[in-house]
Amino acid sequence: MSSIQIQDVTKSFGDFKAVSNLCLDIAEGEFVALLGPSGCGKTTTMNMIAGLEDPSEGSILFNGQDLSSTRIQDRNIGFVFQNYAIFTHLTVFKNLAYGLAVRHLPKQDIERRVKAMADRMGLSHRLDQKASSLSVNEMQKLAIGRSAIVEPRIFLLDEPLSNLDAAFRAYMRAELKVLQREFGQTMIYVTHDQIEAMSLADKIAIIDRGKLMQYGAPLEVYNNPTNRFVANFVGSPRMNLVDGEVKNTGGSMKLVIETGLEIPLSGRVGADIASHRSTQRMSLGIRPQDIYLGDLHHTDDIPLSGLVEEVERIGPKRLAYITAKGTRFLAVDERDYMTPGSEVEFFLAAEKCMAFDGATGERMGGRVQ
Amino acid sequence: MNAIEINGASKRYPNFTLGPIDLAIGEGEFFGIFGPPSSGKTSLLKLILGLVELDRGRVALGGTDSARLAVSQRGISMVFQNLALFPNMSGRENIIYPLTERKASKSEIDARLDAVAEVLHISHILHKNPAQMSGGERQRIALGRALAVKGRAILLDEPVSALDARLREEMRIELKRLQRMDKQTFVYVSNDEEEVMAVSDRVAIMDHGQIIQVGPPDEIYNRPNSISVAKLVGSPPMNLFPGHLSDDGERFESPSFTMSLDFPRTAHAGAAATLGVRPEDIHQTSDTGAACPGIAVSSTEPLGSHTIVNATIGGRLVKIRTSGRVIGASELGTHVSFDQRRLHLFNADGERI
Repeated sequence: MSSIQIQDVTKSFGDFKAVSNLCLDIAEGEFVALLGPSGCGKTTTMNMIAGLEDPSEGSILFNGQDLSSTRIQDRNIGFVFQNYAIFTHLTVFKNLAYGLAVRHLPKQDIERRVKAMADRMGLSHRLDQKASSLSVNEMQKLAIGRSAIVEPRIFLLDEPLSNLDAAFRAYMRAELKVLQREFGQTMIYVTHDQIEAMSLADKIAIIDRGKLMQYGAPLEVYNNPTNRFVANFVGSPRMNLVDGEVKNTGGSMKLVIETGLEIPLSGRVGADIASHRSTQRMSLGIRPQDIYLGDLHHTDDIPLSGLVEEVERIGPKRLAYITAKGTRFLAVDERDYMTPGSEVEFFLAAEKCMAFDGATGERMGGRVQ
Repeated sequence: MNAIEINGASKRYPNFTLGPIDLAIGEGEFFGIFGPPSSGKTSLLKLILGLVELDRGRVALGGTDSARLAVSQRGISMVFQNLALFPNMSGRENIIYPLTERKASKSEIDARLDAVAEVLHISHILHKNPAQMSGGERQRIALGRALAVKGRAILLDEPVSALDARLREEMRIELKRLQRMDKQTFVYVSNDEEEVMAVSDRVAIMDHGQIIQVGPPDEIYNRPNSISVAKLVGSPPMNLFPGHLSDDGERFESPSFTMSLDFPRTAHAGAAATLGVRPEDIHQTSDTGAACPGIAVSSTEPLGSHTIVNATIGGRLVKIRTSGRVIGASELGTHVSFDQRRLHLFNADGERI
């Protein structure tokens, strides 16, 4: 187990800055997800923690110690990659035993730990078979088991579930969480899938173009994104973000969108904007489940009307795509109201609206409760 | 008339048998095919494309046996998972390729290119080569190429699976919009259940080379005809409890609870059965009666709009989806009730009863 401090780390490849001035504190035993779109620098960050890449500037401390001169194999870090990296010509047993054998553990110890791990991973009946005979799902379990068995103090996982089918992915998510809790290891998990990050991690670091956008607990980043990027990236179905210009006419504010739609800015979101007087352009954010269909919940709620384009079933819910004067809103249709082609009234819950500065993307005003 | 009609089609492979398949896909329908890996989804597409010599049965396209149609008359285009764009051609050249191959007139090519580019919002990338495009842009070009020729149907084999999650969500509504506007028949294959259920008018669920249920997404979700379908559709999957029906068929009895049914299943009275309940149909309760099993919570996954709770009932793992936004382990209580109107019962053979 180990804490990790990433201190003002920059990594450049020629003129390209893959990571810029990254600061991140990871406590001992914490499960942290590095989340971002492809090419955002999350894997480069992980490679620097692993020691596969050296930072161009800044330093990374493990329990307060700089390990940059320690050999990678002596850092006691376990890896799981997207592409398994297992020995397909060896048996499942030998794959699991490998990390213990190279550490010259007694034979009985190896056998005991391999059996326990195989049991954990549901691979007991496969121990004597060649790894090449395993299914894709079993291979990934083996890859995770093989790294976990040596009980590294830091466990790094790079998109370990992205090759798996959806049902198995959901199952492995729960498995990983239990595993981490049992072993108490510090885990760093790289993913572009925000559902994985939300469900697994104690904390999420959201990275875009090499820069840290926000670092916090899953519900904190979901409920209180500090900028437009995080608001857009975290949450599924995604947050509605409407870009427009703030106009103040006769004391009442409204957001005017290019397509001609005007959204009155009442309630808390109005106050948020009023405190940023210089703002001209902004984005209004509202999550699909915070749009009410059919009836008004609160007098401050913002009324709009539009045409239902499509209705999708997403698990137990239906998701409606509503176009109001050329601007599309996604709304959760809890009560199966919507049919494509119909005109509807809908309301944005004023208390849940968020405002983002049009120039900087920064969040304006206070937190949402 | 049906765009595609398959009657009793089957094909034996060394380790796998496809079919027999009976399926009719209507004109202008957005038809989804979903199943686990190697369940036969891609084989079924190949069968529709005419790439498979059938052992039995026939495939009719627009009412004509496809065996009697030359490939050029079949009017079926396909979008592959790996897109298969020509790397040395621009977006524009890729899209018009099937038209120039057919020696279409310049005015026809221009008109079709304009129409496709407008729907797909790709006018600004037509001059680029695939290598200069993002994943989503390449995806649109591949779709554009399939749409350029007005055909009988477009087959899409996991067309968005290579994209990241956010882009996937956006592309699927674009696809749906496109299909509506063009009134094309789409056959869409995916191993992502959420995606296929979201876009399709009807879905075929495949397993072991067979179609095990066909219907609108709502029907498949609300009334899966078998345990196999129940397990495949829904995320997290349906919770299943083995047990049996009481002698009068009015209750379901398991080691950890006894539950009255919404209507008696007298035909199956006393028989072994499995009770299924979806994660969102389990609710906390203060009632500790026999119908309300005790739970032990092991972990929670807060997902923002809802929370997934991992728990056990009588030692069996269950997943509960709470509608509340934030929920801690202490708020869950010790007992739960199942929504009685939304229970699923299956017999010993796994069929819905």
